[in-house]
Amino acid sequence: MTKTDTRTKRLSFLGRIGRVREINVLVALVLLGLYFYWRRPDIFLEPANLAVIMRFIATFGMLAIGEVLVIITGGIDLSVGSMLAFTGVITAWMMLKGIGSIPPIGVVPAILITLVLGTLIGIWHGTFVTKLKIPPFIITLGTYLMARGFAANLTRGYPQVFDSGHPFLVLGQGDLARLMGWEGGGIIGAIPISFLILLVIATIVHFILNHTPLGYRIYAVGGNIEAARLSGVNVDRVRIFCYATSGFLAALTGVILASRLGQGTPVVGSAYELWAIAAAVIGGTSLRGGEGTVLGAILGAAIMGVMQNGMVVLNLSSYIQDIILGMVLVIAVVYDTLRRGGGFDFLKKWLSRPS
Amino acid sequence: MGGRMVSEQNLILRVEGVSKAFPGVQALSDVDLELAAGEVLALVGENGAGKSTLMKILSGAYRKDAGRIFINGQEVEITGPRHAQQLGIAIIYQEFNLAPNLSAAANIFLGREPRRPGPGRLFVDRRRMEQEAQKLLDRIGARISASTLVHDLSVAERQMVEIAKALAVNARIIIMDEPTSALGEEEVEKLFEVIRTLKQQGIGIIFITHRLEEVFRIADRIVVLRDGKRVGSMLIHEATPEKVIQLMVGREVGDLFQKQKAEIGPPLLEVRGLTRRGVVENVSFTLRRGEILGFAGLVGAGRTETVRMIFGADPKDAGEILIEGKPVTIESPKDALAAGIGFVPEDRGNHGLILSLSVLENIVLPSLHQHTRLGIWLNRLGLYQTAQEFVNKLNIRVTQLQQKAMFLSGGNQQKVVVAKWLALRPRILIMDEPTRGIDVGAKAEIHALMSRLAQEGVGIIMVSSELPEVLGMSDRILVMSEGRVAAILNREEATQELIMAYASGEKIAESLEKPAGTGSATPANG
Repeated sequence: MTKTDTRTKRLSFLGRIGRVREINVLVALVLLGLYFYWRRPDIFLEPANLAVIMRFIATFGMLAIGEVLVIITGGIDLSVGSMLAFTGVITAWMMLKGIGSIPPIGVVPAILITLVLGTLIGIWHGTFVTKLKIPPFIITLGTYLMARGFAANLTRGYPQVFDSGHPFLVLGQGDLARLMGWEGGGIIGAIPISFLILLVIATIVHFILNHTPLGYRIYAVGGNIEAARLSGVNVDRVRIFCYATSGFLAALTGVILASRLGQGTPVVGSAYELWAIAAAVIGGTSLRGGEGTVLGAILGAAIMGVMQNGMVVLNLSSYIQDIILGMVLVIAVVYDTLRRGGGFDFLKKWLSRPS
Repeated sequence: MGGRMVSEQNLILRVEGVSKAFPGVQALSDVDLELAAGEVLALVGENGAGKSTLMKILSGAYRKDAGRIFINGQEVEITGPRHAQQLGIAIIYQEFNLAPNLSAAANIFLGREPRRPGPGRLFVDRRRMEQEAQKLLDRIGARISASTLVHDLSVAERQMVEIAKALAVNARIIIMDEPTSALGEEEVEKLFEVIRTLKQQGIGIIFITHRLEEVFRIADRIVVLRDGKRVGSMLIHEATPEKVIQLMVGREVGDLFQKQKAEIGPPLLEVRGLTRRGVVENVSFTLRRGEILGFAGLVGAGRTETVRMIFGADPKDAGEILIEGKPVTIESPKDALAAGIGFVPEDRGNHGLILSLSVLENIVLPSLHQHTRLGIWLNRLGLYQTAQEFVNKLNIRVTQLQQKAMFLSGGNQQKVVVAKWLALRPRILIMDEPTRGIDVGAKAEIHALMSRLAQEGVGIIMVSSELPEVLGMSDRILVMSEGRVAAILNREEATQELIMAYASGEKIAESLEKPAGTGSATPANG
């Protein structure tokens, strides 16, 4: 009895911090922003620079949302970086060259086909994980290798470049001002279209997680898959949905990235899956499953975006940037572990060990 | 007490007045035990009698609250599993502690691998290890090559490896917890040969089992525990199965468990020929509206496996399930839900609840689909009201509905598990050990609730290892033994002794399924 009591007390104390976890991340984000603004007031808050940060957040926020869903159910998706290359190349190829004897197709059908393809690959992952009990790490690692391989093989390694006036490029390069036909428009007008897409996606996934039976079931599967199954939850379907969503979001991000770069290239997106996982974790997602939010994923991506941009603005060398970002990730995870009590358990055991 | 002393000089183990309490339960009070070199002592008792607790104290897993332990006449204070090992006590659990990916030899010497001589000390002397291991295996007459991977060994052979592992640390006292529960008849005989070999080598063995028949085959002496107390000790030639059962059960059915009369209606659930090879054989029975059908039997008799198959939680090899006369296909818990079956599992922490989620979320999880608008978004108010309704109805003590399930007491957790099914208004409720590990007050509340549900016409299957509970709550009692239905008894004819006799295989039923009331339902394949 005493054992549970102390545990309850400790967790409720740490749980109180945990409940405002997202606020902590938000505070960290604001402090970071203030710091960089203080150091470079001439650049940091300029619309053009904010647009750069928002594009970064759009890319990694979208991928992180997919990772959050998969990680809540206790899985992982390592394929997303390569999926960016694959889907970017495919969509560009369809618009510019056509597949086989099929002539090039329009922008919209090409995008739709790519999104369907990404979703199908996600379903493929989910099916292997649930029906064949293949570890998620392995099956998505397979796609990690295969997707980039396909992209490189299709293009023989050459980027598929769009002409500068191609209408497809609006998606990744346009901003709100261009969309609405404003002149100038300041900070609001500088909001990139990709960031608007992120907001729409985030709203939908947030809604699914918090207001639909499916969302409750996703958390239930992550919390205890056997108990969820015994409660009549179709646990396989829930998990497949999460992988499919991650595949869909990777394809969407791949399309946006191809548009932003003006080309579909097999070298894009290397190690992005790790950045996306890092963003999810910084935002409070537990790799043990059962916990994670959309807001957290976006805030995690925002922290990384602001850090990375701020360090560029301050002219830090890219080597130093990597070291600092790595430290941020480690600190976030250590904090997370301590918050859950695991670290304290370890310390307690170590302190009370028989001498 | 009243035990017969074994000759004083030969005693390798003497336990005096050991007590141990857990929150809410006195697991052991003032228990004595003695073991002589070369003796096989059978420790018997009902589930929860305290056998495992006593053995865990001896093997260092638990610390005793009071009492003294002597080994070879020396008083010892066992501080942990390693210490117990140094004192020459080894325990072989039902679930083995072997690494399947290593060889038998590597397992036997795990953590104490012989090293190469001289500067090669950093390396394991594999050949010597296998030779030594082989010697130990040969010594107990196990025909296993020491280099075989444990993965490739049968259950019985793994047990031999465990025994050899015990001998490798010079164990003088070997405790075997239900060693035969996973063995076939031939393998049991082989194990007994090994035990006889060990006896001759002067090793004392404490043998825990539920199968009385085996006790009479191998033991020299029997000690009976009941409710944490030692209630008898006798030499094997003075004992009879009846006498032992009498001692094991030996209490009156209290009036704690009193089922209210409920009207028993027409057949609700019929199970015919339910089988999973090697686990459950040809189980058939009928559950009627308003009836509580108790499932009695020993641990490992296949009760949990049977009800899990009915609920679709585990696959079945054969068998038919009919609800209100119509055959239904149940291949997953989802199908069972749709058929109106609810299931309160045995292990509420791991199977019944999602501890990281709130009370609210746990209660509404199976009935989420009933609370959507346009089938898409959740009606949160509806969820809240449903959860609140059942929290009130079942008197679940929570500070708020958002409280995480892990912070509730066992009794309240169990009520949450029940609540989540009641929110679906099931016709059939399966409850596996519904009151295990919860306090007396909550127990009575659960029992009252079961009575009320039965009166409302719900059919309840209650698996329980507590005989007084089974006798107090059930309209009929299905006794399982070794995966089969040993008997189905009416409330009036059932006694603890009769149930134990069927459960332990001492007695075998002449006829199965006894119709209780209208509409006799003889199994299709009797």
